[in-house]
Amino acid sequence: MNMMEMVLALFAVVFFSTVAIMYNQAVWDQSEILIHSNKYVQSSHLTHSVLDEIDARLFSKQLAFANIKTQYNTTRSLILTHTGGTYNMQISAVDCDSLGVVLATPVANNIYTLVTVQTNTAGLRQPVVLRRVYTKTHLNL
Amino acid sequence: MNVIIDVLGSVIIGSMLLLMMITFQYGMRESADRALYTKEMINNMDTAATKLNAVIALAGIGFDPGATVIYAAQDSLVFRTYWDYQNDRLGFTINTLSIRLANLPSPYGRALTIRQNNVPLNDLGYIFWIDGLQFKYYDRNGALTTQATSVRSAESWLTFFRNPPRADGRVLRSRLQVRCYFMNAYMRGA
Repeated sequence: MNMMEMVLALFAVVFFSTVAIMYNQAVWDQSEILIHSNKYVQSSHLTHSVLDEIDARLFSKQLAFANIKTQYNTTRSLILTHTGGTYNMQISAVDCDSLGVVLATPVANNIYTLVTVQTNTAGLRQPVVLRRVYTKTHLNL
Repeated sequence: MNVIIDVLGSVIIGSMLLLMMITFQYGMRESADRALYTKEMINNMDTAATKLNAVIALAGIGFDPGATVIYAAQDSLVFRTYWDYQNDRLGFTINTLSIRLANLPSPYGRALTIRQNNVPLNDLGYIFWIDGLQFKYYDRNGALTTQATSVRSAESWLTFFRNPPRADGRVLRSRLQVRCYFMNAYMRGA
């Protein structure tokens, strides 16, 4: 085998290795997107359930409106038995205006609170973030 | 002679590489098909969970919180409400809703079935690609309960499946865990 043949053989090896790596990468990308989608659906429903929990507790007067900020500035770590995996949630509650814009300076007797829930887990490409503005009514404590 | 050996060698190597490319292509195609099927299943998972949440949220309208749930078992949930899910409005008669997995005539297999007064809902009364359903119930303080009168929220453990694109492939499976609140019970003080 002369020099030219060796160089050609090397090119062939590089070319086919590149093709093989590209195929593998494409399959891995598909797999990662599916894992992300699956985790996203689970995370979004978990996130939603925290916001529903606040609503439910406000309705039943188990939670005073003023206590949203004290009880829902926290983190939670959920281990899901059925689906498997640990989901980390970061919950924050701040004063806001009627449009959900965070107030730079607190207003006395403010009737709007913005709750933000951010959920993350392994396999999720970016965390799921949901926000809900809670308004104090005469039905709330 | 040397030339013939060289040609034979290059033909064998070329064939092997071509075979490798064809195998890659088939593998890639199967993977893409599975991804497409799984994507549709994940979409179905979201639809099922959203529907369950919407149905359970309107349970118990017009009833005391303790009288809403008739039957709270691991595999099924039965409750009462004045909400008419078929027409999506508040009704004047009591409606009994049941949520359970049911066997359907061939070739449909099993489906998550939501019935109002024993008639499947027109809108998503049957939700397919589900072969596992388990409920867990919680009282107003978030503690597990098995008493129908104490149920204020339900957690659904759903197992989804879908047959693979290729007959000899593995069945596609996925799971989801969803917590739904009986909002009307909470609105009445739970």
